[in-house]
Amino acid sequence: MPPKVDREKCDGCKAQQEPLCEQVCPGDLMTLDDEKKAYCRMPRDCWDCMSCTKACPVGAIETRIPYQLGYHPAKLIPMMGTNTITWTCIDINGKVERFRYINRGRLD
Amino acid sequence: MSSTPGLDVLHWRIMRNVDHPEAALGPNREIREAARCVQCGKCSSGCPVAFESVHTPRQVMRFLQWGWAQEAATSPFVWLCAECQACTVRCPRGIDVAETMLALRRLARRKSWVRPDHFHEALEAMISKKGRVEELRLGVMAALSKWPRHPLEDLLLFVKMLRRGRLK
Amino acid sequence: MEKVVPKIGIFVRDPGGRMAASLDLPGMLKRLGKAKNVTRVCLLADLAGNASLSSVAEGIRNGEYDRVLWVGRFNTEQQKAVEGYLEGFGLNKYLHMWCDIEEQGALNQKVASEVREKKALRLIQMALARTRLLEPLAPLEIPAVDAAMVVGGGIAGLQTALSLVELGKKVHLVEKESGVGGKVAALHRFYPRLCDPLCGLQFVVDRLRASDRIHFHTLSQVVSIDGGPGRFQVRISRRPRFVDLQRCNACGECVEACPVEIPRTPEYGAFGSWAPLEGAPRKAIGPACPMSFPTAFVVQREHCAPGCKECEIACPAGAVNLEETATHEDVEVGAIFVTTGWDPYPLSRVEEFGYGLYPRVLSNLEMERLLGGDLPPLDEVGFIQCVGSRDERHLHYCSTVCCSATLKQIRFLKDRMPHVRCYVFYQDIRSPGFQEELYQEVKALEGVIFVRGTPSTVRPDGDSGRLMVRAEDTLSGKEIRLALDLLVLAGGMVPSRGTEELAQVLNLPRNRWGFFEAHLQCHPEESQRTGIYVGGCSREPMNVSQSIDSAHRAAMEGLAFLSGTVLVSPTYPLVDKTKCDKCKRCMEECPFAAFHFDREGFPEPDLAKCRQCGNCVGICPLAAVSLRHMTIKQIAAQVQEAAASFLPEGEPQVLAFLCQNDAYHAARAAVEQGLPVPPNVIFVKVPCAGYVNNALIADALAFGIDGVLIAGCQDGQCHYVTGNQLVRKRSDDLSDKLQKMMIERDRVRFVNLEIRDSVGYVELTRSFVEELMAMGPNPFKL
Repeated sequence: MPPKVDREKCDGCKAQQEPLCEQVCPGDLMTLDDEKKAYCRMPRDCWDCMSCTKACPVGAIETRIPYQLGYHPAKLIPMMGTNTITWTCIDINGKVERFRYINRGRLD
Repeated sequence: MSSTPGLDVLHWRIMRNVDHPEAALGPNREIREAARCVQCGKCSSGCPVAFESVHTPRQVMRFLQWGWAQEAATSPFVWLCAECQACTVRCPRGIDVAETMLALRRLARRKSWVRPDHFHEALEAMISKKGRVEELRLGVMAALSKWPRHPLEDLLLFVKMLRRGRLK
Repeated sequence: MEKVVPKIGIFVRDPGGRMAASLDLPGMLKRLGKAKNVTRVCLLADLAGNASLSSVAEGIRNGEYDRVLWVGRFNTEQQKAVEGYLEGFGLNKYLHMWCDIEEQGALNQKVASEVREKKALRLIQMALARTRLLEPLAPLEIPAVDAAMVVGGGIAGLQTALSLVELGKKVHLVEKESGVGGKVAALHRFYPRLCDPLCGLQFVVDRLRASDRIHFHTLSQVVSIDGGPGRFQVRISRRPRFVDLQRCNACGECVEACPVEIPRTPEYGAFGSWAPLEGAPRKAIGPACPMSFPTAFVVQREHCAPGCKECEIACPAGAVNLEETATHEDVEVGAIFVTTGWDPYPLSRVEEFGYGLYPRVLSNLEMERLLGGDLPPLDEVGFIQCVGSRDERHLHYCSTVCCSATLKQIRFLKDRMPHVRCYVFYQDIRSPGFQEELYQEVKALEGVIFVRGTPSTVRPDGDSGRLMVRAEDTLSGKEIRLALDLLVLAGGMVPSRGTEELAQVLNLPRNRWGFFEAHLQCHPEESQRTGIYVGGCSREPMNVSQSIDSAHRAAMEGLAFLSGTVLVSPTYPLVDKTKCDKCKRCMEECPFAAFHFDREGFPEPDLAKCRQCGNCVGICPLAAVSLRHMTIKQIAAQVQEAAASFLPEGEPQVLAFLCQNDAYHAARAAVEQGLPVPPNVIFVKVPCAGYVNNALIADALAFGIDGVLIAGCQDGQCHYVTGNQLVRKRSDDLSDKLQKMMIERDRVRFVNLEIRDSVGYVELTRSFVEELMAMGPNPFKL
């Protein structure tokens, strides 16, 4: 399921060259519309890699989970630290689980 | 200066209202706009009726700045205002002075600080009841409402006009 | 690249035994000795005399440690002395870390001793974490040209140029008219001494002419700039004068020969209209304006008759060249001073007073010209103040000089025509300071009447040419009606023509009235672009003395970039190119536009423009920008240490980022004043609240800190203009994300704090701790 962009938060990365989500998407699916807000051009091709969600500097992107982890109400939300990523997983029953990873790769 | 309160009354007014002059003005936006006035006098300078009345529009705005809403709303100036808009157009503070005068008229009516005369009352009653004016009926109602003084006065006027050849 | 293994020496200084009284000092030192990378721990007796210091120096010399962590209270002077002394032994000044545990409340006897002990250790561990990552640094010297550019040749520009020239700097003065002098050259008299302004101007110009360090570029404008402070590359374009500056000796033969007479226009600013009224007509060729310096004449080509060459033929020095074309010149300067001055507000826009319609309605500038020439017969003269100024339909601000200007004109008029009656229609008379005397003097003159009330319209008095004016005298409530022979409108000031284009060329922000934005009130002549200064009326309406003050101040401020080299502190930003994805956010958000693209398209700060606030560090979505000596890694390491628990179960732990301009001082004062600061808070000092990157806050929460506080300056007071607002927005965004993650959004908050508000600091930390206690522990405490 494709990423959902909060149009109020999205500032089109100030409509510079390419917004960050567009730069980072491995499938080249994110781009800016006429109002300079980001959106996913080809929802069917989205791999749910969540790179866009992680990259967005204002946290405007939310990924919706298609699997049995949860249907529509389920969420998987990353919070980016300098060398940590903390994931919060909320399933359809509202149960919350959190995972913290220290990412050695980010800060050599 | 007959409508300006006497000195001791003025003093009492100041003591009472100086803490919250704006609060005394109530929620009406036009009336609260008076706070922005700098008393430059441009409204009076352009006003065609300013000096026909005991107060100038600037003075009325000053009353509002002190929170003397009744003083302002019952000033004869408010009722002389011709709504020519010369004041509003010139005001350097962007205050809609003409609209303030209208707002004061409405305030005076609402608070019953002024009572309309019998003719006006008859007119108002007819409009709210029927939605329009039937002139003959209005004339009769007005005359009856102040019976017997009104028709008698009219009779006197009739005689006077007849004598001066003003009625054909 | 070889990885450097740091070796740290920890030195604790405890004069008076304050630390020993509150903590188990020996136990703490023992534990520290076992910490990673620590090779020596020592309690110093005292630093007075170099006995202790030389023992520290010994360890550096024999390589026992290569960096030092100091624990204790050291003031700036002591720090500088220590750093200076040890530099002599080979220890770089940036390899010192200063840790004051007292300012964080670690010695507070009212707090339970286990908490105190653990907190003190935590603070030192945090300092250690940063010390491990320190690097040796040296200040940079950027070569700077000792030439300056002054844009605008009015009184402010001339004074700036003079101040700089007298300090030995070379100056390029760029003026768009054919001569210098600006608006002051058009004035008849100055207040308060009622002297001729040309005297003051001539004085400045003569001294400038005597110097060989100034280069006048008249008929010129700045068209582009490049580079940065210390070495701006500026392109100046010059319109043709058609007269050779070297050859012309202003004999005037050409003027006699010129067949074209230019009609006088009443509008200020047209060629020749500011010269005193004389019998001689204005020709297409004539002296420079407004002041006839440079002395060479100038041709107004657009007025020339086609094919006419009379002036060229007539000139005995062969100085006229009607074929001259526009040229440009490139110069390199260290700093730029903008003194482009003002123009009068077009009074025809204030329609009610009939300016432009009735010939006897004049502006105050036109009155100046009239006063300098033959006066027509006058009996009743009116002056209306605040025309266009203090008016929401025109200029919202007060133009400062018009009240005093009117008073001066009345004074002068009464001198020349004692019988004249003058009426001043005013709202307020603004004659501050010693100008009060002028006001009292004029008010007492016979035949001068002040009417507190503004007329609404002006009407012609039949065919007489006179003007009818009606106003309410608000002080008496009476109507005033007058027929005037002359009406003078005291009009306001707006920034001069060309200000908008110049603002674009120099990328200089302007305020909402179009004046150049300045850093009031501490540095009024500093602009938001390092190396560019704004002075005189180009930044605010002001009178001549104030303009001269402003000009001189601007010159002083700019000296830093005109002194051969610009010294740059090594704590400048560094972009990690392996992480940067060129999103340009740092470039967008830098309040001083200090970034440009390097050859590969990565953002690079101009080290002379950069003011090292750290806002770039805060905004980068990938945390790819660091400040040297305060890198993201260093602070992240500190944050990780801060998260380790030092409080009993159930007590929330708070990490605060305090901006070092305001909030930090408030926190420190709170401890010094003995106020009940909650022990739950550990703070990190940052150059600007805008330094705080969301990734650091995320780290703090991820490692279990219960609440994060960011404290910056009040809106409009941030030392770096927008730092506080930027971080507030970012932390709000993060709070939104927290909410989605089922974490209380109020765990992260931004607050404004003023420098002395120690009580405010205690109150907000106390209530924050209370709220966190009610919220419960951080769900991330895994």
